[in-house]
Amino acid sequence: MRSVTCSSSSFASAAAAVLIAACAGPRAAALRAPPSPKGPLALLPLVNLSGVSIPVQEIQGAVEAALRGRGVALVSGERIDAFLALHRMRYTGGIDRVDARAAGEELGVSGVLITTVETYAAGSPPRAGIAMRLVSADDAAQIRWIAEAARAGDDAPGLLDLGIVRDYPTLQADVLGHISASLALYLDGKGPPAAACPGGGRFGPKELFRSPQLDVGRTYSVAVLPFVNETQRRNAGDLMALQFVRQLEASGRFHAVEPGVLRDELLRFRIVMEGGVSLDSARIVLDLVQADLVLAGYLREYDDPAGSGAAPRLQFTALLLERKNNEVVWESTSYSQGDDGVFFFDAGLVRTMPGLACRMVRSAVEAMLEPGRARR
Amino acid sequence: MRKSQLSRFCLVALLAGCAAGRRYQDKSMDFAAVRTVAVVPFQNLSQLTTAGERVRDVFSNMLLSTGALYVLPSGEVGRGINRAGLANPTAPSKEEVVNLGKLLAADAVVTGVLKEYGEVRSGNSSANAISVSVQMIETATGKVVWAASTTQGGVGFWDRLFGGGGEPMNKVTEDAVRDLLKQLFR
Repeated sequence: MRSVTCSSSSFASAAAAVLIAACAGPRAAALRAPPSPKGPLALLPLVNLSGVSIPVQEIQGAVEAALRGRGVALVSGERIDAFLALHRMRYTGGIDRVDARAAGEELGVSGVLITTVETYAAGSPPRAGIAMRLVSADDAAQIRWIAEAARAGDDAPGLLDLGIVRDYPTLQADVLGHISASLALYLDGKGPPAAACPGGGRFGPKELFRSPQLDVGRTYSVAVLPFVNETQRRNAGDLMALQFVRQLEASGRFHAVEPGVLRDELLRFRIVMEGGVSLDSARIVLDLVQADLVLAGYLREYDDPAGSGAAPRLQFTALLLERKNNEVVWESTSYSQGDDGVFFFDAGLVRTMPGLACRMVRSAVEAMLEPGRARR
Repeated sequence: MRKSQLSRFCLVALLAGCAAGRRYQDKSMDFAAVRTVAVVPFQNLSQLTTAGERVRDVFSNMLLSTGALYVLPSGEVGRGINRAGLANPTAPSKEEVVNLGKLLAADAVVTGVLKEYGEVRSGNSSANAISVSVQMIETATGKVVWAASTTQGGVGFWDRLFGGGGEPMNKVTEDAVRDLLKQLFR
């Protein structure tokens, strides 16, 4: 019989490792992020999902300037236009695997930057919301980094309203400064690939189901479908899906499939989900993009009263379908408004819709990871 | 009519008026056998066009959250309705329920009627109110095995006295669904 000896130092280090592992919780075992891409990045023309007309060229120029100002090497302008024309790429809100690989080979880039304008109001007080993500320029077309920033001019009025930002360019510069700083940190290997938005506690799901089949100990790949948009707001379903992509990535436990890859497969196989996802369509989607879970949802309310001083209101239901048993493993209904839990002097008021959506989605995603929150 | 009989009649009438809901449950039905449920779109008799879907959504999610039953995703139910060719999915016939049950592998189908959803006024006061009734139909036989209704919200004493508009619509809806589920699991 072999005897096992254990010195006090090795025992102490083993105990420390166990202790650290226990303290770190389930997220310590999260998917290890691939190294930051090296080399220049392709900046695709931005996509306007704000629901209003925007000065595209000006904003695109500001995005490029902000990124270059942080030392990010970019391929943009005419070379990108020529690439888009050559590959007949009309949609720049996502990129499929074929085009991602082609970008890598033909443009010599390591990643593709996709920019989305989520909210835009140039009036007083202005509002600006921009999301950006970096997709690897290879066959995998994986999301490597994703960030979003949204600000309202009256976010922090301060004493005698001296903190109010009244012009759009200043606000936009603040938003782009935040995003470009996040990207530069990530590229230097100092920043996270995705950051969760702050404080979601007040905006938690109102109804929640979580199946014990959802294993908190493993990492899942998730295909996020555009939400069924039952509101008047154009593109709101796509914006909600994008929020989920970001928060799933930020959780460290889920890896979202690039929406461009998913869109390409849905178009190629003529999959239309008008009234929501069925088990058949979910199964097909999961097979096509090789994902473990499919996330779908319904957007019931998306009320963003920009400029009126009223708080935004949002209501949605999201569900996760699993590949193995073809069952719903998580479902959540959330409804909140920006002034929930605000009592004195507008402290804690969320004035932008992306800010509210981000917090609500973060809470919903956190609920996926907590078995104790299976019932409300 | 004697005085005591009259007072008893008045008491019964008063209690009946105060009751928020009615319930029917098939005594011979084994509810433990119901594992999978399909909630079809609710018939919407209210002013708001999306109200039926909202209430159905809250009902499905809260029923699923109980952990007692598995509720099929609404997209899957929609697919089943299309395949079964239901002319009026909010009020399926007995044969249609049986057919839908086979297509979706569901043990029961839940139908609902939304009678009131939104703001109601009484004098100078207004408040949010909901009135909804639901039925559970067994797919093996097409028989109604459970039915319940509830009314929540409305202008109360404090609303009349101080105004305030009552509870938010989402809260009232949740209360109504909670009441229905309480009647189901009683």
